Amino acid sequence: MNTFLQSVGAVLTTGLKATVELHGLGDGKIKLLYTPDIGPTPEKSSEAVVQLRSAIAKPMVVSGTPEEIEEAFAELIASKAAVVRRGLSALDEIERLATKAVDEAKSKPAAKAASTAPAVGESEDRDDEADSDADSEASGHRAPVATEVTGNSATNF
Amino acid sequence: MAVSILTLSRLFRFAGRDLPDPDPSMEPMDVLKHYARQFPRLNGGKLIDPINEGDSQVYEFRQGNFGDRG
Repeated sequence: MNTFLQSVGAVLTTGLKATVELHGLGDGKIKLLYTPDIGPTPEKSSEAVVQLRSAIAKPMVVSGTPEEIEEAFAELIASKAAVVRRGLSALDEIERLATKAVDEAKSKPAAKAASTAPAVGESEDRDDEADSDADSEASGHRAPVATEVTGNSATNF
Repeated sequence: MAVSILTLSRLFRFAGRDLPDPDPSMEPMDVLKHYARQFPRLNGGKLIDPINEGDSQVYEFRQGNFGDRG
């Protein structure tokens, strides 16, 4: 049978921290709280991430005589550690997907802007051609969207 | 008529987020300390008296410097 520290040592991988708290209950019984420390939750985490992190960091509470706890502890802590591992890998996956989504969202507007930029220029040219007689200088310096609309409508008609 | 006793579940609220009860046997202040590990802004935070919402007893956590002046 593993000792208490051997059981804890078996599940604490590099960088993982945990707090063990003991309370005396009387009649030779004790209560043990094992709380995994998964570090601070990022400020702008989604609701799902906050709930998941809360679930992972939920303490494992065992009460009984020291002998009873010692006997069952290895098994209990192994199951708790499995939950923590699964939860942390799910968090990693969520973070990876979120980063990917952000990167994609960032690259899309840039690509869009690159593809639309020449179109605006073209429309400005068309507009200038259409309104060559009247106030051509003023329309050339105005907002591109407005000039694009008038330019297109002019060519449609 | 049979009387049924309802037990109110606890819920902890911080910054508009509802956090689950980590352990019903924990004192609310211990729950505050527990969540301070995940939300460092809760270090030195305050616990507001609970209010009842449906079948839940809602405790609110506030940051330590919340409302302090002078």
